[in-house]
Amino acid sequence: MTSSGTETGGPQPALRATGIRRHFEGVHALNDVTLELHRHEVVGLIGPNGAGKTTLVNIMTGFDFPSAGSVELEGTDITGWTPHRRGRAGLARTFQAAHSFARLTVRENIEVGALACGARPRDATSRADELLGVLGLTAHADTPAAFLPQGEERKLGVARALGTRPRFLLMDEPAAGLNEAEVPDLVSLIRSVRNEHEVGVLLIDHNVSLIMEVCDRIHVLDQGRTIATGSPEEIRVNLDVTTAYLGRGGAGGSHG
Amino acid sequence: MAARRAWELIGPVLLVAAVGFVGSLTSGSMEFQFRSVLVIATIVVALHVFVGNSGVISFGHVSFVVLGAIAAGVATTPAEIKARSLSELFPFLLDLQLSNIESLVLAAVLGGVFAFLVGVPIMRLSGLQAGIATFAVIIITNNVFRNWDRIGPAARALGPIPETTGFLQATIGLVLVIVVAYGYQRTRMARMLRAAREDPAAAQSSGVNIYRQRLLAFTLSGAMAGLSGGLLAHLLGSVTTEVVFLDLTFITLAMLVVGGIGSLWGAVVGALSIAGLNAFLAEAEREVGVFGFDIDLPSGTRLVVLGIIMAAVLLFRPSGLTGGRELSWPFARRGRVAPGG
Repeated sequence: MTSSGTETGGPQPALRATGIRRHFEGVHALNDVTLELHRHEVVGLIGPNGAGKTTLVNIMTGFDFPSAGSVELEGTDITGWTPHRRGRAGLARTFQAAHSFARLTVRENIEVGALACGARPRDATSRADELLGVLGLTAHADTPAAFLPQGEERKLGVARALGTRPRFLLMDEPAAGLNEAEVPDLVSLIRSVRNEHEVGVLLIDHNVSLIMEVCDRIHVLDQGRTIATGSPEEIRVNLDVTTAYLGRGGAGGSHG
Repeated sequence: MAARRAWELIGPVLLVAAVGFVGSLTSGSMEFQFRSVLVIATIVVALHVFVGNSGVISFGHVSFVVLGAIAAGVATTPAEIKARSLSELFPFLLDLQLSNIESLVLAAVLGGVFAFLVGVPIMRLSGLQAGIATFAVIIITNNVFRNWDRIGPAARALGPIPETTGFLQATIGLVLVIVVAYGYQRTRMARMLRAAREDPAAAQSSGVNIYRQRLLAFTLSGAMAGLSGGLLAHLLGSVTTEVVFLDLTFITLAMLVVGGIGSLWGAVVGALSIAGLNAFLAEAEREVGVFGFDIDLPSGTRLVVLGIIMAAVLLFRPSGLTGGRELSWPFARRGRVAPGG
């Protein structure tokens, strides 16, 4: 694991899941998983289907609770917090399927997060307009979200999450359903979230080339256990990962 | 943009004013039917504030209506009559004597307080569970009122209650709840609640405390339902617990669904059209003259026709007459769809 900023003499603000276990009726969905995410970095969370990736994200964002272990946000134990409290505290997420507020306009979708986090209506609107511009959604501002094309709706999911001014963003399979041509857009979006919004991003995806390209570190789960962590280069040559996840074809391909 | 938004309020208000005006030109039982339509619409708009914005069904709102009706009735029935026919009432209720307007305020306050108390446990529920729990509330409320003669008329009729719900009060009452409903819809709280209606998980992760927003809307909606109960008591002149029970629960929900759940315009249109049709058919069963023709329908026609029309609307327009959308600005160059959120 990367050390947590020892040069500054204390731990950097981070999102930490420590010793997480989650059992469903005898099935060990997660077994002693520890993961740390700092601001201004992108960490990939990969693993085969059923490895426990979404369960871990659900536990970190309050939609599920661990059987053992704890979640800390910048030094505060948030293990028992509700999802909305975590949302207000700076922890945002997107979902596998598009989760937008279908009958609200695109602009209103983004305003919700800002309003819920205490912004005044006028500030929420200017925040939304700013994000509409950043994500290239301005032309759709007054369209009900239900009428957005799939690719745009995924962008809206990110914009909605950024509306809360998060410090950490957990993205659950943002590339699912995108065609190859749309992936570079997603890459630059994730980079701008990290660099310009100074957000720590935890990225779950099956698209290995996306993960390898954009992540600073990668965390690999298999059957609820951590089997490897490291830089993309380290993960690429890790035999366990190759066997468990990438298959005999080796790294660089996409698995899905 | 501002004109378009204002139209979402002005449109329903103009429609209500027109109904009130036309009704005031009628007389006899038709005139009473028009006033009833306005009061029923008040209940439906109250219901919309919670159901339309939260997407959670409530079978319990008539509890707040009956509380408002009995409170307004007990507070305005002459003391000497109460002493004679409702002598079991708590002494402070026997002595309570309020003016018409004060009784309406009391009805609204009690409706809101009751809704808040009931909402504290129930607003944690969603979907079918919330529906069943709110249904339990109306059953419990009805049984308490029907059997506890210290707080109301129990199984008897309460009255005579001063019949002050004329066209002016009925119209003002309805316009008032429409204005409050519209004002609420423009708030950040309502926006958060509608987001939760569309997608609870995304709303929560955006920081929306769904429980708190639902409880707030339920309380406001309960206060408005209480007010409409007061108007109803002063319309009928006498109230029994059976008049304000399941029939009213289902017909008001049906009006909301037929109009289109999710928009204020849908609530107003659904209520006025179905209540209006209901009133007309009730008159036609007793013979009514329309444009020189005498219409005399056999007894029972009213419910059959109403049932068929409601079923037909839902078959052919499942999202209701308005599609759950607000009234769109009629002078736009292109037919833009106003979002119903």
